[in-house]
Amino acid sequence: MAGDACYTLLASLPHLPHFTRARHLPITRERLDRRLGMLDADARAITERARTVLACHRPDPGITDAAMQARYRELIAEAPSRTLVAVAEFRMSMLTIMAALRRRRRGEGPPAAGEIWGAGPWVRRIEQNWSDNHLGLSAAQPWVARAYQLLESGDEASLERYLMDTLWHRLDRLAEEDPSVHPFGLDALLVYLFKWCILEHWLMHSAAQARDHFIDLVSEATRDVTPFFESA
Amino acid sequence: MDSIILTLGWIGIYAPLALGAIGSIIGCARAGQAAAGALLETESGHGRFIGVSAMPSSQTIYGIVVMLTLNREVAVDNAPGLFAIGVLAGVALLYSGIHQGNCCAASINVSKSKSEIFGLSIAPAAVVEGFAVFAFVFALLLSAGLPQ
Repeated sequence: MAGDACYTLLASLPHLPHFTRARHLPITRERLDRRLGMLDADARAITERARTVLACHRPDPGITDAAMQARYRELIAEAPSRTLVAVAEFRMSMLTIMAALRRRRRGEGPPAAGEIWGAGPWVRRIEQNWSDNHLGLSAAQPWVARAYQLLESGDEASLERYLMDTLWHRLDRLAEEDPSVHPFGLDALLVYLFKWCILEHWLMHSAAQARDHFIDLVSEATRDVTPFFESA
Repeated sequence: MDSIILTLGWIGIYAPLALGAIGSIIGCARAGQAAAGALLETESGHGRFIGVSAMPSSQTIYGIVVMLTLNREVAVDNAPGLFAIGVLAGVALLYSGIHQGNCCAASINVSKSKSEIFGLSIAPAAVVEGFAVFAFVFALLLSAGLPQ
């Protein structure tokens, strides 16, 4: 049962600082994957699928929009909790809204009928409000106004930071305010994993932090290797 | 009818121990699993994690004492009282054991990365223990009024 393993697993994971304050990943991908091995097969499958669909970087650079939409729908259909659905919808809506804003900034018109270009609950509304600065979502998704402003100013770094921060706080709110999220349940684990993905993505964007991460990975990989001259 | 009433009386005598033990089992298991996880992430202070994870075991001890206090020759005139006091005290011990386990797990989880808050983080578990003590003490007081 995933719930039982989550007590041990979540207690074995280090605290994640806010991504802007972190200098390195508190736990490497390899160690995290090893810890996730405590989960049973079903829970492991759910976490893997969720990480694939909601990762901050593209897990498969060649994946098409249609394939991504299919993965998203599969995740929503099989999601064991409303928390996962809420996180998936928010993340996919963010990706879709930003795709629409970027397309429009390039001067492109609304997507053609039947074209698969995004996923989530706001696709139709965006298509219907293509000419509106905030795509008709200023009330439903208040973060869009600031994202639009940053995109128009061409400040990509601030935009990326703003989007990651918005997602981070959304995850915090879900974990703290939703009574169905047990602090040692699968939902709490998924929230942790998404925040870890944000942290990893953010640190990879900084050259100095990427170097530190590389050193961490090397240290992790060579931890049990005795240097040649010490073994002689 | 009398046999049913007498059976309820016997249930009342054993309920504090059985329900308290179930609460302790679940609470200690949850806190213990969290302590085991925290051992992977910490270099020291392992003993206190294991110690905290044993906190929900007190519900079983309270259950034993209440059971021994209620234990008497069961008769039709005292069986309803035995049932009411025993089962309700047992339910209180059951819930306090489970939720004290959750509090202990949370305490272990937060104090593994910030050891200086260990004392404060354990306060919620102590508060839950306080309610278990209320249920325990007043079960003893009320049992004194039951016919022997």
